[in-house]
Amino acid sequence: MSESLKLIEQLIVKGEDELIVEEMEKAIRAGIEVHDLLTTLNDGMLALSQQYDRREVGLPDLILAADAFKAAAELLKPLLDAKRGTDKALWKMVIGTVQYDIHNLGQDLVRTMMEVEGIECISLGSDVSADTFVKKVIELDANIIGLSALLTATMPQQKNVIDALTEAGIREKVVVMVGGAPVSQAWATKIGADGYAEDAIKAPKVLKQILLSKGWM
Amino acid sequence: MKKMTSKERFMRALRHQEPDRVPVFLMAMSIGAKEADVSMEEYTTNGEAQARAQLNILRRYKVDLLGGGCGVAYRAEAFGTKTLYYEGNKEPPVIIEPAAKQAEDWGKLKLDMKKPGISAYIQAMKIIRNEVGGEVPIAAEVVQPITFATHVAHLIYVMKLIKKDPALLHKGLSRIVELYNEYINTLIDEIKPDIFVFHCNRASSELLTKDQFSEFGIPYDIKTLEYLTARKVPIWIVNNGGYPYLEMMVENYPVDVVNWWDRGTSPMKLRDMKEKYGHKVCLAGGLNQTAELFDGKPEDVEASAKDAIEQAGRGGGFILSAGYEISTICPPENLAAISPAVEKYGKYPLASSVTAKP
Ligand code: B12
Repeated sequence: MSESLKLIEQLIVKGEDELIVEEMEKAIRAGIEVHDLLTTLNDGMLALSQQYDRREVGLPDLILAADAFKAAAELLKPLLDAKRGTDKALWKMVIGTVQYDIHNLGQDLVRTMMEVEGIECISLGSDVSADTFVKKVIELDANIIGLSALLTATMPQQKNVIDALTEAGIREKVVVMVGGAPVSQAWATKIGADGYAEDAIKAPKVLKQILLSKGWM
Repeated sequence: MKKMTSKERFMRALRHQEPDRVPVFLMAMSIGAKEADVSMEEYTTNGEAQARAQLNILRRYKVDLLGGGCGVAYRAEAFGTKTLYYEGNKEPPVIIEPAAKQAEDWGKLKLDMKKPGISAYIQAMKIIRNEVGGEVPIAAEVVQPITFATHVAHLIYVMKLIKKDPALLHKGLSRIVELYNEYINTLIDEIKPDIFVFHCNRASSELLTKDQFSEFGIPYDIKTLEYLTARKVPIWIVNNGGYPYLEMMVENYPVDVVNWWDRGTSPMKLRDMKEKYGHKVCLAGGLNQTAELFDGKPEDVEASAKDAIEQAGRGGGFILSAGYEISTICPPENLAAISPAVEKYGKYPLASSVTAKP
């Protein structure tokens, strides 16, 4: 790994949202591949999560790393957009954390990665009711919905949103993705979601597979 | 043994002496309102309604200690947050605007004990004391400064200050502790509580590392607790899930009762704590607010109570309680199973089957 990529990974771990922008700009100017930069950002986040799981760092460190990640990922957006051409406005996603659940860091990272991958993604924040999800999908004419749940107790709310979409007669028009620490592929299948991803980096990849398999892409 | 009043029973347990039976406490705030058919809005803004709700819990479930209030938002309001009291029978109040949003706000935090939530709380506690205070002990409450800071200001903002501007956070915490002098002394003068519950919700390794907690938690906790020891009010620490900081607190704080989610994620069970700290502190817990109380049957509650008394009842120094607040959807028949269970298994001297060391 080049010195520059190593440094960028460390800046994620340290949560340096200003320094990382400088380093990223240098790396982009030096012609480092976008793909390598993305992988590095992901590795940084992963390394920090592992430290967090071992209780070597706390929530303050996690929050700052997420900020650094978002700041760095924003810089890659225009590069990826340029690569993709101009037909990017096809997909619009609405994401949020389900009702009674106030954890919002995870869905915010997923939003960033979706945007990085060229999918317009609007966050409704946390504690979002099924009604609000449905209303926003209709109002914004979105075709993808992301539901985050961090509490075992709020996981059933993901199903409530899916039921509400069915009731509103728009279930078939939207792809439903679910996520959050207690959520699994088995749960996603059980409640009839279209997909599940375990982290923000995988989320857009999984989404693209779903779109392909539905013949929407 | 002669039947004691709740106060005698509670005080003996606190002093590690055997009472007539194991005392019971339930943090039953919003469920108290629900069961007395008092709307959440009324409960949090009208002292009489709040007192009625808690006295109803006393009569219904024969608890041995009464508290009041609900959540943190009404308390934070006295320190300058904008707090919303939902109309009618909805949720407890919530903070809609923090008091400290930027650097200069911290130094300007002020205390106003005339705000609706805190004055209703004080009024409620006075009514309770007048009605039953001779026989039933009363608990007042205060939230540990680092936890309170994440309510007076936004949680994410406070977490960032830990890394980005620790000096500012120290200033904010010092200001909270400064205001706590008047806050705590007013509550003591007005309510004359028999014990103070110290809520330590953010003292958790999920949020703060040991170093972070040592720097931003412990010193301010100790200063706050000094106000209480100066007035000779016993201290009940409740720490919902913060192992390993629980032990740091028991070792370093002037604590009389320790209450944690012993049936939850904590590896420290009642038995372990009794073994290690039973000579120093009175333990409270044994019932699981997220399991048998919540979706079990009365028999499960009885079994849990029996097991808890087996683990920690020996020699007094134990109060049967849940790990934290009881949810509003706990079935009343489960709560009603607690009192018969302590009558059956918790009478001192405990039956030898109950006290036999594992
Ligand atoms: C931070 C935190 C809080 C903060 C939240 C701050 C905020 N504004 O977000 C505060 C302190 C407020 C909090 C409160 C509570 N919390 Co909390 N909290 C956490 C903690 C420590 C970290 C969560 C986090 O932000 N992780 C970092 C982000 C980046 O990761 P993530 O959310 O998992 O998201 C990633 C993936 O899951 C995925 N993903 C997420 N959403 C989506 C959506 C889609 C569509 C897709 C595809 C992918 C995806 O991608 C993300 C990025 O890679 C976890 C512990 C843990 N190990 O998860 C507990 C945890 C989630 N909390 C828990 C609990 C119990 C609570 C409380 C009930 C009580 C308490 N202990 O304080 C309250 C609940 C309040 C409520 N009603 O919601 C439990 C949940 C247990 C359970 N399974 O039910 C946990 C697991 C802690 C524990 N071990 O007990 N909490």
